[in-house]
Amino acid sequence: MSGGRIPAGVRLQRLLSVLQWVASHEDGVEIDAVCQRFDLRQDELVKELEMATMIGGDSRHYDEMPFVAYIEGQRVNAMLLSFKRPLRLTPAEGLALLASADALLGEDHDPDAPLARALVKLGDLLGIKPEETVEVDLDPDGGQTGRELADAIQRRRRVRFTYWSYGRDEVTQRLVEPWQTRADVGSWYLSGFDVDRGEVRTFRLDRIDALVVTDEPAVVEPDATPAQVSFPENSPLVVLDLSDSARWVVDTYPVVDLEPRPQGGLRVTMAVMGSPWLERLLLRLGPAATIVDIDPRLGSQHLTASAARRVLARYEASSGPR
Amino acid sequence: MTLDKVERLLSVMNVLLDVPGALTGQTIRSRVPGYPDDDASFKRQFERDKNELRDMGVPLLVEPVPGSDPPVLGYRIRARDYELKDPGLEPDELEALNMAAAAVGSDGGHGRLGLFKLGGAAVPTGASAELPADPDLVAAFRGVAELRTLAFRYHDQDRLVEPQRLEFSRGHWYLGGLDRTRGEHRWFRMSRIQTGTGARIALGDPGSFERTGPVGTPLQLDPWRIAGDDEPTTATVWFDPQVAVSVRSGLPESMVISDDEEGLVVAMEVANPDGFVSWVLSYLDRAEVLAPVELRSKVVDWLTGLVDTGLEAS
Repeated sequence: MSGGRIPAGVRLQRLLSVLQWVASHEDGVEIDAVCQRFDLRQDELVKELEMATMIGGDSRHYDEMPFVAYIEGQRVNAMLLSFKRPLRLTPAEGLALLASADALLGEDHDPDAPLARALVKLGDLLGIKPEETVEVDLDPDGGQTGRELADAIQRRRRVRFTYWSYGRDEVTQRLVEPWQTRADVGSWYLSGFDVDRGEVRTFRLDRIDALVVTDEPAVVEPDATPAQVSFPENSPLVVLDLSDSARWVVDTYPVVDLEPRPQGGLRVTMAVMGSPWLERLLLRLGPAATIVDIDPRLGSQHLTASAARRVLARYEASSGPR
Repeated sequence: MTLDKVERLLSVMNVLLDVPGALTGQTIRSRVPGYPDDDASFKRQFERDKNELRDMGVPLLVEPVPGSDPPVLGYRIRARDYELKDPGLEPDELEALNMAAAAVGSDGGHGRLGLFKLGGAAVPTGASAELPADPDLVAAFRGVAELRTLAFRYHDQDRLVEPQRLEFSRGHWYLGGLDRTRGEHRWFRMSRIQTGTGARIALGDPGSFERTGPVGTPLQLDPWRIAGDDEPTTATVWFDPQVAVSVRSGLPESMVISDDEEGLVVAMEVANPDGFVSWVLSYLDRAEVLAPVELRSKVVDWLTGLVDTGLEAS
């Protein structure tokens, strides 16, 4: 937590937490142990404790000072006159804790595991039964593909697979030096060095097929940058007007720019990987989306109609219901 | 001297915690060092501080100051509202929670703040999985935990729902509950909740329904089923061999009728025709609805409408 600006609310909670933890040890705690537990540098800790002991100091009544804290030798000591109990959890905090605990517990988890017991106690605190109210399925390691890739990453082996690029609607063979797997917005991704393309690429695990871990060693040093789904800088852009019923688009896909329209709905600018992706979106949205402006690389203003005509052609060519 | 904000907020909490009667803003000002001398600046600063305290979960009560005539409103914090009940977490349970919060990140670091309150240590950053943010998730969770009804707009209809369950699956949050408008249990995808006039979800009063335990159908994520109101019909769909693997990875084996060089043919129970059509269209001309005729016509009519709109526009 060192470095960077920490919001006041976080600092305040952390300080109360430090004081409550130290006060629970009658003989105080080693400075290093406090710093390590709360991810603080020693000078930061000293500054926070000094500030805490100033509180109520202006008062005429000594008993309005809530904390006594001092450092003696290499130990921190604290006594609390107020704030002896932590502040209750907000709904957002309760949910975040429940969700992360539930995500790590498998469906047939051992009810005596520490995390399972913790989840039950957390539920009691929030007045709910977690198993009835919150369920998070993150597939912790990315399924079978994720496990095979993790093995290849650990042994530094190249992998081969067939990849369906959804955005471009292409199926290609890939030879990749796998670097990292990561879950983001519920999907798992692999980042690594695409040997044939000579570039770092990101792949979605559920579009990887026929994965083979080869005996060829990986040679390129992994980049420190984490896997991210990003668009190349000169990606073609499209500007769409969306009605209210199509608002989910901006929660589902990354948008470059977004403004509400005076008559309702939204005007969004999106970076697009390829026309097939945009065609899918437009066909699904139908009248709820209107093309305002489109990069010629993606197609014309009539992209929706031309895509609809192409799909219709398949229906017209076949004999109808079979 | 400008005082550290944390020091000022803690001082306000210290002054108000467990006072016998509410204190006026002016009393607080006189007892907390660091507020500006100028009245207007003080008011603005005090407003911001109150909001910040409430965001942290500090239950600031607003009530008449005892003995004031005419009545003046003031503030206090009751210890019983403020204090966390001891959850009685054993050290290994707290450690397990710490690790869970470290592995699965949440928007805004709320898990970390919650852990501080429970007596946990700092959570290292760089979680391996991140749960996506949803603007209405906390409101929905309050509904579940505090038994408040939720009013929102979905599929262009106003809904009043008794929320029972939240599920996160395949990258999205879903809310399950009794849809009072329809008298039936329903699942809603949180990101599809529409904007009405004002907040997306309006919360009812606490305790506005009884907890019934697990009811309703399990979450069915398939777009051709979720939130569907129709009697299920069996549809058969053809897919290009190129996308067969990807399609099959999301479907149970029992749905596959054939899979060869001609392509993949599957049979599926469709309860939500709109969701079904949208899903099939996401495969462009690599998919075709073979039967029944009603669903095939639905796709054809939808596409014909889009071609016609394009002709009118040109």
